Formats: sequence, C-alpha cells, structure tokens
Amino acid sequence: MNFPRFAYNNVKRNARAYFAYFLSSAFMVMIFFSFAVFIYHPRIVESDMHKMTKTGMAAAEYVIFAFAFFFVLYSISVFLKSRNKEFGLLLMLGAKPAHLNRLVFLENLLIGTAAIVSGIASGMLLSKLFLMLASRITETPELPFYWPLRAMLLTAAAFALLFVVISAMTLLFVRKRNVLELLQGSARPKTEPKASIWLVLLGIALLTIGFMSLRFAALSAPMLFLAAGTGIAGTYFFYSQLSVLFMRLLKRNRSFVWKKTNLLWISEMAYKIKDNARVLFLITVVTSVASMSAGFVLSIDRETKSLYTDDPYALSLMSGSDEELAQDRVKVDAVLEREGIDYQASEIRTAFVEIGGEQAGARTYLIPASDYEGVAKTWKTPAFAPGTQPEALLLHSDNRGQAPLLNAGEKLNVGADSPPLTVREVAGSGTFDAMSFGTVFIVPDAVYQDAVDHMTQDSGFRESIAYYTVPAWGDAAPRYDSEEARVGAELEKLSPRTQGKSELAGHLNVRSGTYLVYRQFMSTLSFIGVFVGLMFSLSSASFLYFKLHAELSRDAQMYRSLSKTGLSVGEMKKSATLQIALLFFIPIAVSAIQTFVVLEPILAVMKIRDITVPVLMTTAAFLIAQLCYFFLVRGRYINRLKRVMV
Amino acid sequence: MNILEARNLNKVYPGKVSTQALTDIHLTIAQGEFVGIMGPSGSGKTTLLNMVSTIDTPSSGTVKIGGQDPYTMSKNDLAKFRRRELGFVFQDFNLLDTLTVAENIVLPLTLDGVKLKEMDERLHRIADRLGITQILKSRTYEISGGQRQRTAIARAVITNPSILLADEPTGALDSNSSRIVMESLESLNEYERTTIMLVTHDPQAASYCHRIVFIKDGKLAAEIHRGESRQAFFQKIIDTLSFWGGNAHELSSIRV
Repeated sequence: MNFPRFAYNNVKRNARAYFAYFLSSAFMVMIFFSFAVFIYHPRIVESDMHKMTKTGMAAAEYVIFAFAFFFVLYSISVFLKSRNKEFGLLLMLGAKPAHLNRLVFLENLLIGTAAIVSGIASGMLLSKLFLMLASRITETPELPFYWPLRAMLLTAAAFALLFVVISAMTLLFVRKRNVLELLQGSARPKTEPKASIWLVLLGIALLTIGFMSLRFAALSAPMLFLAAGTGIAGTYFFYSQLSVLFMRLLKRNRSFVWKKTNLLWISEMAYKIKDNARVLFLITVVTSVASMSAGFVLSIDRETKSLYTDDPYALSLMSGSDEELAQDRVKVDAVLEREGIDYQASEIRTAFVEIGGEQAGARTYLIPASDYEGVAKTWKTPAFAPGTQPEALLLHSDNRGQAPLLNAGEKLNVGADSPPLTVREVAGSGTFDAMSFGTVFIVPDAVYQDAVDHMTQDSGFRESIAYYTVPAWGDAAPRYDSEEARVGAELEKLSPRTQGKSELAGHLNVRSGTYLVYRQFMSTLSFIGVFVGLMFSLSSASFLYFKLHAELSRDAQMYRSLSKTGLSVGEMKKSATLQIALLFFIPIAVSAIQTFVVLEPILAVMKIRDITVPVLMTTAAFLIAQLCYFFLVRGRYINRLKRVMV
Repeated sequence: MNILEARNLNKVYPGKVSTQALTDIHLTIAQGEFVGIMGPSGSGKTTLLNMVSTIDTPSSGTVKIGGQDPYTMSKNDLAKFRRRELGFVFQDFNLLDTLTVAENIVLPLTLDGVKLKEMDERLHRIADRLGITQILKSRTYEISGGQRQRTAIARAVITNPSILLADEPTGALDSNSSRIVMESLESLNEYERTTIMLVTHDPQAASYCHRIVFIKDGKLAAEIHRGESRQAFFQKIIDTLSFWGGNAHELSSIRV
C-alpha cells in the first residue's frame, strides 16, 4: 500500500465521515454551475438585454463564489477537527508532519474532484429546471438546453483553485499541534468566551457610523460603500462581542437562568455563540444581501406595474412638424390597417418655448386650446374654453414633488404681441403625469400661434403628436405573446429602439414595447434577486445543518450523561429546539432590521416611500423557507439525540 | 426500612452467543446503609448497578426502590424518578463544562422548578458539608479531580435522593483525592443519613463501607461486614478478594 493508496482507502472506507464535507462542497459547486449555465446561455449572451443581465448575474456569481469559499473552508476545518485523534495516532505511529500534509492534500484533491464532478452532474439537472423557471418568470420563450462547455470549464477551474487554496490553508490547522493535543481531540474543554470592552465599543461605533452614513448623509456611492463596510464589520462584532456580553449579562439574572431548562440552553448558547459567531455572521450577511436585493426589486416592481396602465395611448407618434407627422402617420396607419386593428387617433400641436412674466426665462410646453379639447378627457384634466379674458390653464405633474411653476391668478407672457395671460387654474392627473410633459400651459389658439411665430431655433421647438388608442387591446398589461405585443413589435420595426435606420421622420413610442422591455428588465432583475435569495437561504440552511451535524457527537455525549441523571426526553427536546431555533432565526431577524435600515434611504431617493410591504414580504418568504429547514433539521437532530437517551 | 430490594435478578444479553450477566441476585439495602459492591472485571458489577439505576432492564426479577417499581413507569416519569430518588456519581464526573460548579450542582433542582431561595440554601449547605464552598464560582476545568468528584457528589445528593449510586468514584483520582472523596461520602452517610451503594475495584475505597457484597461471574459470592476498625476491614477485603479468585494483578497496590 503506497501513500496515495492509503489516502484513497482512507476516504473510501470511511465514506460516512467524509460525506458531510463532500456533500457541502458538491452543493456549492452545483449552485455555482447552474448559475454559470444561465449566464453563458447563447440566448442570454445574444439578447440585447445581455449587458444588464450579465452584470447582475456576474455580481451574484461572485457572491456565490465568496460564500462557497467560506463554506468549504468552514466545512473542512470542522471536518479536520473531528479527525484530530486520527492525526495524533498517525503521528504516534511515526508519520512525519509532511506525511500528514500530503495526506490532507491528497484527500482534499480526491474529495474536491468528486465534488466538482458530481456537482456539475447534478447542476446539469438543476440548470434545466432553472432555465425553465427563468423563462417562466421572465416571460420569454423557453431557453433551449445547450451543452454548457464554458460554464463547465469555469466551474471546474474556479473550484479546483478553491480546493487547492483551501487545502494549503488547512495544513495550518493541523500543524503546530503536539501529539497529545491531537489525541485528546475535541475532548479538551473550551474556556468561556469573554467580551472585550474595546471591541464592543468598536462594534457599536461601526454600526452607528453605518447607520448615520445612510440616514443623515446625502446618498452617494462612497457613502454606500462606507455603510456596507462598517455595517458588515459591525455585524461581525455584534455577534462576536455584543452577543457574548449580552449572554453574560443575562446569566447574572439568576432567577431567570436558574429555571427549568433555561440553565441548560443558556449556558450552552453562551458557550457556542462565540463559536457560532462566524457562522451567524456569514449567514446574516448573506441573508441581508439576498433580502435587500429581493426587497429592492419588489419595491421597484410595485412602481413599474403602473407604467403601462397610466399611459392611456397604445401608440404615440411625435414629429417636429405637421407635415412630417402626416407622412409618418401614413406609414403607421398602413401597418395597423394591414393587421386589421381598429384604432382612433387624435393629434395635438405643442411648442416648447420660453415664457415671460413672473417666471421669466423658464421654458415650458404650450398646447393650443382647440387641440387640447380632443385629449382633455383622456388625460383626465379639466376642460378649458378660453373666455373673453386672456387666460391659460396650467397642467402640472407633481411626481417630482416640485411646486407648480405658477399659482392660479399669477401672470405669464407668451409670444410678442399677445397680452399677458392669467393662470385660471392649476390642474394635474395621474394620466398626465405619465405623459411626462412636466408642465404645460393650455393657451388660446391665437396666443399659441403668436408664440410659434416668434420662436427661434434657440428659444424653443415644435412638436406635433398623434395619439392612438386601440379599444380592443384593453387596459390590462399585455403578455409577451399578446396581439398588442406582436403588432407593437411590428410597428417598432419602423423606428427601431436601438440600431438600424428609422423609416419615420419622428419618433414612435409603442406603449407595449416600452412596457415589455422594462418589464423584462425588471423580471430579470427580480429573477436574479429571488434566485440568489433562494440559493442563499438553501445554502445557509445546509451550512447550519453541517454545523449541527459536526457538534452532534459532543451534544449526544452530554445529553446521554444528563439523561442518566434524570433529564427527560421532553426537556432535552425543549433545550435542543431552543438552541437550534436561535441559530436559525437570529440571522433572519437581524437581516430584516438591516434590510429596513438600508433600503429605506436608498429607495427614498427613488421616491419610493412605502417599503414596509415588500421588505416584510421578503422576510416572510425567508422565514417560511427557514421554518421548513428548521423543522427538517430539528427533527433529524432530535431523533439522533433520542437514540442516546436512556 | 429497605430502600433497595432486588429479588431474583437475572440478566441475559441475547445474541449469537448469549451471555448470562447476572444470575439470581438478591440484594437489599436498608435506609442509611453504606454498601459496597466488589468483584473482578466482567463479574456483573456494572450490570447490577445499571439495573438499580434504571438505565437497563432485568430479564427477570424485580427491583424496588423506596417501595416503587421503576420498570412500570413511563419514560417521563422514569426521568423524574431518577432525578428525585436516585443520585449518581460517575468515574468520569460527567459535569458540564459549560456550567460553573454551583450551576452544575443545582441543575437537577432547576429542572424541577425549585425556588431560587431554596436552591441557594441547599447549595450552600451541601457545599459546606463537602468543603467546596470556595470553588462554587469556578468552572469545572479550573478545579482538581477531587473537587470535581465532590461537585458531582453534591449534584447527586442535592435532591435528597433515596439512594446514592456511585460507580467507581475514585477510579480517576490520585490517592489523596480518593481519600477526600471517600471521607466526603462517609460523612454524608454519617451525618445526613444518605444511603449509598458504591461499586468499586479499589479495596481502599471499599473499606469505608459498612458492608461489602462480592460478585463473581454474575453470582453473589460473599458478603462481609465492617467491625470497628477500618484497617482490619481493609485486610478482610484483601483476603476475601484473593480467596474468591480475583487474580493478584487485579488488586490495586496498597494505599495508606
């Protein structure tokens, strides 16, 4: 039996001990790979959305890789700790430290290779599911399965590197220990964790800085990075110091601690919490990132739903002059008639000019009163018939939270020969907001004509717009395979969105097209957000399971001796359940708070104020997923413990 | 009054080669007695102790502790029974290193929901008796083996159990610590009237008992009673052990 053979037999014949480590590695490979399959999918690469998608997906892939690194590193350190006895025995039999290094390295190589191969294999299955799901969610035709060579290479290379680096690092775990320490293994009692007051203060300071920089400073990229950095570091200290401190303070309250099973689980928690600080920290950060992305996407998604429904016109055709508009209309009408679509169209003239009077120098749109008559009803704005006095109607959209340009009763000058106009009324409507004019003055036809006549190249421009409504298409947002979407795509060929020469002199805005592009962008974003969240919640759960699995033998020993002295199964369940529950749900609670704190100021900049519902929804989703894992893991754990109870 | 009454105890471990671990054991221990069980390795001492401590069930025969039959109880009642009626002392202490000495001692009381004031009173009384008041705030890995075993004894008797079951309590201790631990048990027996059943290999430890029951190959082999002098009793134990065919190397070297 030569040395590699020994390493191989070691793994093969002791498969159960290696299984948890292998499984957690293969799991991370699988997630990484199925994500890579999506990124490198030919359709995704070719699609005109690919830049946005790819950036988001690539970022997610980096996060997964970083998480995988810590996960595998943690797994192997736990795994090696459980094998201390074996290493001590080998050293006693005369193995040189170099032998141990080689052994660990070879084993890692074996397990790593096996994990990469089986991770990719199961990833193939998962990615098929993933592609189906992706097309369902993003409402695009199903992405065909392909042979993901690039994704395979990327995954294999990335994880081969990871395993080599990690086995190099693990050699440090084994070295620097004497034989006796190794032989005693994990039997040596740990000293009670202590909190350092300086580190506690540092943690509080970091969290405060993070909070302040989000709340009280202007939102900017450096501030965000500062908040992220201090927030993450602060979270670490929160777990490693504040929680230890909290437990110590709690233990001073003897009337609570010395009560029933409290004594058991509190002291165990106090002991394990420092041990678990890194685990909890990692899971919290990951859950926070995931629920922030999901919450962010959900918040925006709620806003975009209105994008389509607010726009009353199926098509809007804009041209610089009446003549061009007429030419363009011929082409658009031809397409509509060819497709057999019933439509109504109304035209307006607008001018973007400088006005005088109380807001002299401001530039704004003018619409002649006679044209306005035809659209006022659709815009849900008040009718305006010019009386004998020179008056104007001011339409104002308040979606930027600004005050109207003028108030009712104030005066403005338009054109050169016309008398000053008095603002009769300031009005607005949701529909008008969606037309994105901002501010419009409805003026008597003569005043409008005067303004246009005196307009120069530099002082303003003309725009004539034809609005089309198609009653048959209804008000509901269209699916990607509806008639509206199909005809919309047909019409967009006249005036392509990105490249190619436009056949129209003006600009054609197709409501369904704009909506669908935006919609696709949003759903890709939400897909990434939700997928990343799902994967992270899955992997954090398996992380916790791995951790509990590693501690099982020690806990089993403890509960066995306690049961001899009269600990009942019910009391064991209570104590163990509480401990597992705290591990599972503390990160969720902390990350929910973090998500609120971080998302609110960011979304406030985007005028989204109501984030409670989306954040609660995200947290609830995580909570439900975590609950399922919790019951699964708890059931298995307690079953194993029950077996050792006498 | 008899605290422990074991009648016709038999234990067979089934398997390809079934083992008769205990045969027709009768054992009674009266209130306030200090009884030792001795015998060579594999003689069935631990099996007997497991029966009495309700961890294992006999194949036939009955065990009554304080008049109650623990084998007819449900699992939960049994756990409560163990907690209230039985005190355990193990060779390897079985203390939780997550707890302080005081917390280890009161653990059975907290599980029973005893009031804090009462716990404190009982804790200090028992700690005084065993001489471990100084170390109540220490952690279990900060104290010596003898102190650990006395902590374990304190934990075992704080519930005022009917009987204290000690399984090789001096097995992991040096001679000085052994002496202190055995003297602690003796004083508990003397002043608190604690009934004790001690399983041991160590003649020195056994010499603190009132009565010693010898087991060989699962059967009762002999029984000796202590007179006035512990030194003479020790000699009697040595004689009995060699007479009943324990091999010489099983006898620990003589300690004084």
